[in-house]
Amino acid sequence: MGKFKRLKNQTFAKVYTKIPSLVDLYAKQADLVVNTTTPFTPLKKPLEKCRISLITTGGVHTESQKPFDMADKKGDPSYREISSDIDVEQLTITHDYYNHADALADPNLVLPIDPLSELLQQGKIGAIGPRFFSFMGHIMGDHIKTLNQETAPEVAAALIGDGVDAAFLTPT
Amino acid sequence: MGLIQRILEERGISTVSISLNLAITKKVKPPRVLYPGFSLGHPLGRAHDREIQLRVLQDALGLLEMDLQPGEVVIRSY
Repeated sequence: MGKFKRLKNQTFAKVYTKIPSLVDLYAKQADLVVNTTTPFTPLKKPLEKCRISLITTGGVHTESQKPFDMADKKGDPSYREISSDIDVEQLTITHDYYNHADALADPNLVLPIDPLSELLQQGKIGAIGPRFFSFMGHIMGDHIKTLNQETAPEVAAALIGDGVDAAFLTPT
Repeated sequence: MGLIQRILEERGISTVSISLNLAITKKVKPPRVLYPGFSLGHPLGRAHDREIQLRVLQDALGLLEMDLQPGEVVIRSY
C-alpha cells in the first residue's frame, strides 16, 4: 500500500474518532461476523485470587518488534507478545485505522499496564500474567480465518500455559 | 477483538472487554462487555488520567464477578 493510501486510511481514522455516529453507519453496512450465541466461562475463583492478562487490538508493540503490516489492505492477523514488566514508554503503535495519537502519548489508554499493577498492589487481583498480547484490529477477508484458526487459539493456549484465569480486552 | 474474546472464552478463560460501539458489539456478541461511552482509540477514557483508567479497569474486571448473562453489555458513564 502506497503512502497516499496509508494517509487516506489515517485521515478516515481521525474522522471516525471525531464523529462516532459514522461508526454506527459503518457497523450497519460492514460485512462483520454476526454471531447468534455466546461462549461463556464463569470465573472459577474470587478476582483477588485470579491471575489476569491484558489483550488489545490497538496495534501496540515494542520498538524492537516487527511493526504490524500496513501494506496489506486486509490487515494483519499476527500478534506481538509484550512482557508484563515492560515500561510503557518502550511501547509504540502501528495501526492506520484509528487515531492513536492519545494512545501513543499514553499506551495505558489501550493497554492498561500501570492501572493493572495498581490493582495488584491494592490486592484487588491475585497476580499478573507474565505477558500481554497485542493484535492489530483491522482484519478482513481470509485473515479472519487465520485469526480464528491460528493466531487467537495460539494466544489462548499461551494464556492457559501462563496460568491466566481471566483476560481484559480492549478494542480501539 | 470480540472474535478473540470468544475464542479465549471457548477455551476456558474468563474474559471481559470494553465496547466502543454498541452496534458492532451487538453483532459480534462477546461474552462480557462494559460500554463506557468513550470514542474510538480511548477504551480506558483519557490519556494520562490514571484515576479514570483505574476506575474503568476495576469496573470491567468487576463484571467477571457479577451474575451476568452470556453476552450481556453493562453500560456506565464516566
